Amino acid sequence: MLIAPLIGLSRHRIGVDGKGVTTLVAFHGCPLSCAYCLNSQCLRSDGMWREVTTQELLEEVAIDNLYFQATGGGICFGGGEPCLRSTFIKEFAKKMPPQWSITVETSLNVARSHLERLLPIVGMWIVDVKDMNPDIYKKYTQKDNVRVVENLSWLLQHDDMASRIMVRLPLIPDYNTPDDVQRSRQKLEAMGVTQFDEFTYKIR
Amino acid sequence: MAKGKDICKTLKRIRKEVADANEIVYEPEECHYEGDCEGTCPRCEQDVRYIEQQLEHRRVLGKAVTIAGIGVGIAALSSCNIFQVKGKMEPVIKPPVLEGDVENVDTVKPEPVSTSAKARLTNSGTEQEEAQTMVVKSDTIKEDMLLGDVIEDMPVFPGGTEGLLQFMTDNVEYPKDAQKLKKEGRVIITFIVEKDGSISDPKVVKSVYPSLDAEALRVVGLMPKWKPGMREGEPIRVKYSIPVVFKL
Repeated sequence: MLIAPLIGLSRHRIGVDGKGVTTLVAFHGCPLSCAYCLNSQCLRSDGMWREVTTQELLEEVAIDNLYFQATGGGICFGGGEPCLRSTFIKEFAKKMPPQWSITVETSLNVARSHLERLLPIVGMWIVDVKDMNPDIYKKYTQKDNVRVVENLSWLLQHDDMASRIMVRLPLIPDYNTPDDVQRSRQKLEAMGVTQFDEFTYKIR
Repeated sequence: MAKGKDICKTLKRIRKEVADANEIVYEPEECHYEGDCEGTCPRCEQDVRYIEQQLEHRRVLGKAVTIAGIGVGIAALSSCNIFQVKGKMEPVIKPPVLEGDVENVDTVKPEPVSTSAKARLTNSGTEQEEAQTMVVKSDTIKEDMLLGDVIEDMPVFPGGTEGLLQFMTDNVEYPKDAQKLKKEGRVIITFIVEKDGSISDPKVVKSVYPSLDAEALRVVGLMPKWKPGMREGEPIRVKYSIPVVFKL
């Protein structure tokens, strides 16, 4: 039985993590080091809340099965970087009622093998690209975005993926500008992305 | 309107739609709690379990059961009304050890103000609801039996809910280290009430602070035998959850 470290669960999210009523399952661990990370405990070794097996997680989230099925909702995996837990998510998906949907909120800055594992089971991909400008991305996350762009292109090559990908385009105070955001959007549209969520990071 | 109340109303409408679509008699009670909530409470959870049980009855009787898609419109409308906020933030998740404002399997209810550094079960006037089972399972854990198994009689602590409250009040001690560090919050413990009424597999499903978790687990381990849950005249294993609130 696979075990994964979590930083939190959040029930009854409506319309923020894809369709219907969802429960957000947030994993510990992330490849990025974002300057304004709101869940920075996912980066700290002592930031883990608890570990769960796929069965334990299923039993806990199943309390909202009625809402999931009635609204076409299900589980949104976030974090942290959920794609790093692709094996866990795959095992969970095998156990869960088939009517539930799975959404991931991801940076896509992970090895391709994770995405290959998740492609058949993830219904909605919410991708936070930060900014498509490599310099801005690196300054904000401390990492390169080459893999993000490659992975997004790879995802978009699959049938009907444009309708299953929502790209989040944040305006990041002190890191990018509204013009940068629009430049990112143009690049993404040229790649085939059709759904965007533009918003501004709020700094705490 | 407060977000929690909006979520509550949306979930209530979804429950009503599912009930109506399946000819289940269900009239949700009006909530008179004036403060904000987390979108659900023990009463709401009880209603969900009731509908699941009624759906299971229908399945057993060979009647059609319709759930899929019943509440899609309601959820979509609500998301427009409630959450279409520009400038929104990334989902904020805080571990319960920090703030506790992200709940897990807990069914959250408003808490009264505590005046003593004494742990207790929440008792804002509806203790019986608080102590109700939040997750119901059959005695055999099968994926297709996780939800809505019919339980005719829930397990009962000796002396009922009042007995349970008294037992917890009598036995839970506020750990000194947690007091010093001003750690407080609600620890949620789940356990199985076995067929013979004994308690097994106690687990912390919502952690607050290690010593508080340990104390809640310790006291659950001290419990006497319960009257087991029953189905068709036979005792069955039932998973039960209780909140143990530590408040300074």
